[in-house]
Amino acid sequence: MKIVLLFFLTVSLYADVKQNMFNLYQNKKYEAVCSLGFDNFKKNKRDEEFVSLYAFSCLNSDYIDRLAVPAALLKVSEEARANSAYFAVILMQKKLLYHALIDNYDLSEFNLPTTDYVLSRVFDLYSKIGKHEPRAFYLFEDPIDPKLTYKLYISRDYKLDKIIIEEFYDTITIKRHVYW
Amino acid sequence: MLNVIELERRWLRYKVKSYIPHLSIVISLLIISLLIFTFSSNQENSVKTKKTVPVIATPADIIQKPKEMPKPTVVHKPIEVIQTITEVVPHKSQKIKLEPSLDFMKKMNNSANPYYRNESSINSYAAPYEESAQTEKKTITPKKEVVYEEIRKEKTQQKINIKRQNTQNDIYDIIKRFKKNNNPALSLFVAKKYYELENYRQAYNYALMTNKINKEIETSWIIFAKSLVKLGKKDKATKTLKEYVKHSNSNRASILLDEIQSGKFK
Repeated sequence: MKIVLLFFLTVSLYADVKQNMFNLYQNKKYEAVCSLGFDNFKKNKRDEEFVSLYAFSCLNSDYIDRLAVPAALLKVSEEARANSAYFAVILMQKKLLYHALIDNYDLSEFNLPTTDYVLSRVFDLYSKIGKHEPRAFYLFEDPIDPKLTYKLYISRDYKLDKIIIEEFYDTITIKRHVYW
Repeated sequence: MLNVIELERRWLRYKVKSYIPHLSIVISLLIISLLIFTFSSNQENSVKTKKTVPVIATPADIIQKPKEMPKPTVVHKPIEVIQTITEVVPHKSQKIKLEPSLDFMKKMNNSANPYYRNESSINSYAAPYEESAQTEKKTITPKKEVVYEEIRKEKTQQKINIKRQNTQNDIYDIIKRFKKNNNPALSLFVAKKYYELENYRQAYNYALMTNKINKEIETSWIIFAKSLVKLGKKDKATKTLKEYVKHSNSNRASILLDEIQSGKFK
């Protein structure tokens, strides 16, 4: 009897975490969902819905490195595999862009798939430049919406260099993304 | 008596015979070395010819080669190379776009508690402006209908929340920032975005807010007037535009006014 009660208690706790995460996600508290998912990841790593929710919330809060594990784990359903490929591409593009900006690595030779995520859009625009001398910052105009521009630069830190992408709409800053 | 001549002849034979094994070994070694040399040289030649193929296979040579080579088998090779080149070119220009799949969230939403309500930060902010609109409605419509409308709105907002819309997220972020610093540039951006999303009531609200903060922003007045037209209040739109044109002599506003009056802009 005790075992059954304990089982139901643990099941309800797991469900509670997932539901809590979903509610937070709907309220656009992505960072909170990402950290909650990170804390409870070990217990729920076999639940693809949980892993996907965790990954999307981390993506929306710019914690790209946290996509590595979900990209490796999502494989059972077709939807999970699609999302896994989506996360893997974004993660790879971030790593390549970081390498290119810091070490002046040439990205023009690559023909990678793209996504709707801002990092992918900037990656595509940056790779179009080809081999060039490193610049202090890059300004890109969105090919679909000319009012939308992206400013890409490296923030030099004594500990770690960080990629900064700023989104502007008619010279107004909309969003600032930091990746490292 | 010893036959010296015979003895010398026999010695010579013996001597020649003694050299035969040495000679045979030397000759055989020579033959073997020659064979090895010829075999290795053949291999080198074959490798060299193989290596030279990609170097020679420039597009110009490929075109010239078929004329020089009489054999049909040799002519086929450059054609294959051309085919591989033509296959690569379109592949590079095309980009595969990966789309995220968010169907799992719909499933999760279906399994969610029905009594759960979203507490959207936007709703709390937008409430006063919607309330003003609702108070107008209250005078015309009975209370029950207003309640139903609110429920419908909540339902539609829940649906919107499930979808992944970057523009909506952007608007929410900007509204948060506008709430903090009351910058008219931000409210103007929100008004523009809402107008693009065909949410004319919100576009009207934010254009109105922008005008209250700064009366000199031309774009804001234009969005304000356009939203009014879209909301079916053409007279109000022409009236405000006329006043604004008087005040500022704005060309864009006067053009829009003409378009509204002539019925070009609906």
